[in-house]
Amino acid sequence: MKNATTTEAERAEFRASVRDYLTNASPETRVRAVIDSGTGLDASTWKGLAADLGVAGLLIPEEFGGQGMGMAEMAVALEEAARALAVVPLLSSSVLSTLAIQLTGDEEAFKKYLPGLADGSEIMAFAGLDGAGTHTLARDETYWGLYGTKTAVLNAGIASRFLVVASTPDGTGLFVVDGDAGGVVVNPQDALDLTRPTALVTFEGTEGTRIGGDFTDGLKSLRSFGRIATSAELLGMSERLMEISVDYAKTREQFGKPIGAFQAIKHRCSEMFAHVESMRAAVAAASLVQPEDTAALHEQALVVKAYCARFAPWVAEATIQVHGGIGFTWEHVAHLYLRRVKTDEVLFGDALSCRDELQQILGLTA
Amino acid sequence: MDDLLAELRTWLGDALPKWKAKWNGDTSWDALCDWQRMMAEGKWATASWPLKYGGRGLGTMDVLAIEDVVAASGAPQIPGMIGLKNVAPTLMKFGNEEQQKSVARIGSTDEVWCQGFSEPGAGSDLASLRTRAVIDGDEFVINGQKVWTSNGMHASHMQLLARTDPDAPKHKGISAITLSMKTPGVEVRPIKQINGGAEFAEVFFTDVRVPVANLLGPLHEGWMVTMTTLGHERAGVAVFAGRLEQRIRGLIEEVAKRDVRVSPVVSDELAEMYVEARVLGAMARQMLNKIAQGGTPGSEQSVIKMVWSELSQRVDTVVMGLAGIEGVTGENNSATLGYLSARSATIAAGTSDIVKNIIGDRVLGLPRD
Ligand SMILES: Cc1cc2nc3c(=O)[nH]c(=O)nc-3n(C[C@H](O)[C@H](O)[C@H](O)COP(=O)(O)OP(=O)(O)OC[C@H]3O[C@@H](n4cnc5c(N)ncnc54)[C@H](O)[C@@H]3O)c2cc1C
Repeated sequence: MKNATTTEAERAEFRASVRDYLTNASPETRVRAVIDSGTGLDASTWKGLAADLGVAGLLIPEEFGGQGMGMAEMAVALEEAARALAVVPLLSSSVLSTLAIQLTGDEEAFKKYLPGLADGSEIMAFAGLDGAGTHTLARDETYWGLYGTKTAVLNAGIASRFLVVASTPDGTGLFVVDGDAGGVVVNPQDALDLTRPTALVTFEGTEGTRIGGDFTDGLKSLRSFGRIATSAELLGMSERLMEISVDYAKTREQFGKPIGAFQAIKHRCSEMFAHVESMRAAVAAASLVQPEDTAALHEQALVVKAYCARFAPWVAEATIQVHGGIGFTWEHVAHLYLRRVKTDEVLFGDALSCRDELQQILGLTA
Repeated sequence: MDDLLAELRTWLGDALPKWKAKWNGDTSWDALCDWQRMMAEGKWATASWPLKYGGRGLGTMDVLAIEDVVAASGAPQIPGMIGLKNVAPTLMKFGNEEQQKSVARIGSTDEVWCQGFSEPGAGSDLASLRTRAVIDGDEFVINGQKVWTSNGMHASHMQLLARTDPDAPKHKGISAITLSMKTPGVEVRPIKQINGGAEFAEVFFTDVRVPVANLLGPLHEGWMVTMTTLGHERAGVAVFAGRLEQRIRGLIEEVAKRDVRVSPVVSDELAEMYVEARVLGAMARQMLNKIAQGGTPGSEQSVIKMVWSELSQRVDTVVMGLAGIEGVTGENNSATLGYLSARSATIAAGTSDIVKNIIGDRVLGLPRD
C-alpha cells in the first residue's frame, strides 16, 4: 500500500462519484430491506462499489488488480459507505483482510489472494480483532491446525475465507482458512450493528495455511490502520448525523418557532459541527501518514481514534436528543447510525484504551 | 524560506543579546517597545506588511515560520500587537494619506494603538453601541464611553467605533474614526483585571473634537471596516492553536520527567488534552494550507477559535491543579496567573456562546432567535 497518490481535488471528485452512486444504490429503504433479509450483504451495491467503482481494490497494488492507492483514498470510501450505512464488507474484506495479507510481505500469498479481493469477487473476514477472551493455538504437526474461538468476526457469514491471527510456538502467525474447511463453526451473534453482522467463529483443529512469518509487527500496524479506518467511518456517520439534526432543527417547530432558534439546540448543532470538522482534520492527517513510518503511524492512529471514538458517539446521542421522541423510534434512522457508531467505537480500542496507550508513548505511565 | 529563517536567526543572534544587555532583565513597557522597535527595523515585526509600508510582503506561512523562530529564541513579547496585526492592516486598506502615515509609526511604537469598540451597554451586541459622533462643520464631536480597551493605558491612538446615524438600522449608522488619545476631552482610567494587571482601560469622551478627515473608511460603514479588522484577529487564532499544541507537549514532557507519577486520572486528562490539541493543530494546519494556496478561511476560523479558547483554558486549569496547594499560596505564581488570565480566552474577541451562535446562524443556516 502506498501513501496518497491523488490530490485533494481528485479525492473530492472520487468522493462525489461514490456518494452519487451510494445515494441511488443504498438509500435508507434499501438498507432496511437488506437488514430484514438477514443476508448481511447488499450484493448489488457491493458489486457496483467494489468492481465498478474499484473501491475494493483501492489498497491493492496495480500488479495484483487493484488501484494502487493508499489510506487517504480508502478513508474517502469508508466515510461514504458508512454515511450511507451500506451493507458491504468494505472494512473487513477490503481493508483488514487486504492489509493483513500485505503486511505479511508474502509475495506468493499476494498473487494467490489479492486479485480476488481487488475486484470484490472474493470476500474475506478477518478473525483477529479481539484480544482477551479467546485463545487460538496453532501447532505444526503435519499441518497447521487451528484451535480456539474468535469473537466479533465481521461479515463472517458471507466470507469465503477467514484470515486468522493465532499464536504459534514461534510467535504470532497469520493463517488463511477456507470457509468450508473442516472444523469451522460460525455462530452468528446478535450484533448491535444491524448493517454489519458479526459471528463467533470456532476452529476445531481446522487446517490453516500460514502466510508470512512472525505477524507481531504486522498485527500492530494492522491495528493502527484499523483505527484510522474506523475513524473514517465515524467521521462519515457523524457528518450525516449532523446534517440530519440541522435539517430537523430548521423544520420542527415548537413554541411557535423552529427549534433550531433555541440556543440549547443551536449550540448543540454548532458543537456537532466543531466535532465533525475536528474529526475531518484528524482523519486527513492520519490517513496521510507514510505507512513505513510505523512510529508516526501508531501515534497518529491512536490520536485520531481517541478523538473520533469519543465524539462520534456524542454526535449520535445528541442527534437523538435533538429529535426528541421520534429519535427514540425504530423507524428513525438515528439508531441505525448509533449502532454502527458504537461498534466502530470499540473496534481496535475505544477512546479510553487509545489514551491509555498514548500515555505510555508520552511517558506518563510505565 | 530557509534562507529567510537563517537570516532571521543570524539577526536574532545579534539583536537579542544587545537588547538584553541594554535592559538587563527589565521587562517594562518601555523595554518591550524598544524590542519591538528593533524587530520593526529588521522588518521582522512587520514581515506581513507590503514593501511600501516597510514590510517584507510575506504570506501567512512565512510569517508564521518567522513567529515560531522568534518565539523559540526566547525573545520577549511584542507589546503593540493590536496595532501591528489589527489596526495597521485596516489603515492600509481604508486610511487616507494622513492616516496611512501612522503605519510606520505603529511598527516603531512611536504610536501605540488601541481599539475602542466595546461599551458598558454593548459587548456581544456590539452593534448596539451608543457613543455618538456628530458632525459639526468639519469636525466630529464625540461623546460616550468605551470599556475593556486593551492597551488603553499605553495607547497614543485609538480606532474608535461611534454612532454617526442614530436613525439608521443599528449596523448601518456606525463609523470608524481615528484619534489621538491626547485629544482634549478624552479621559482614560485603568481597570484592574482579575489577574492583578491593568492591561485594559475604560475611556470617556466628553465633547471630543476631531477633524472629519479622521473618518476611517466611508461614513456609516464602520461596521464593515471593523469586521475587516476583526477578521485579521481571527486568522491569528491558527497560530495560537499551533502554540497550544506545543505547550501541551511541553507540559506532558515536564510531568513525565517528575519523580512522582501523577494520578491515573490526571494522566488521562493530560492524554485527553493532548489528543484534542493534536486534532486542533491538524485543523489549524489545514486552514493555514488553505491560506497558503490563496484561499480564504471561512467557518474553520470560528471552529478553531471555539476549540482553542476552551482547550487553552482547560490547560491552565490543569496546570493550576498540578500546582496543588502552591497554586493558592502564591508559591507557584505562574500557575495562578495563567489560570486567572486564561478566563479571558472565552470572552475576548467574541465569547464562546457568541461563536456558537455564529456557527449556528451563518454556517449551518439555523433560524435566528
Ligand atoms: C482580556 C480582554 C481584552 C479585551 N480587549 C478589548 C479591546 O481591546 N477593545 C474592545 O473594544 N473590547 C475588548 N474586550 C471586550 C470584549 O470584546 C467583550 O468583553 C466581549 O465581546 C463580551 O462582551 P461583554 O463583556 O459586554 O459581555 P456580554 O455581552 O454582556 O456577555 C455576558 C454573557 O452573556 C452571554 N451572551 C451575551 N449575548 C448572548 C447571546 N446572544 N447568546 C448567548 N449568550 C450571550 C455571553 O456569552 C457572556 O457569557 C476585551 C475583553 C477582554 C476580556
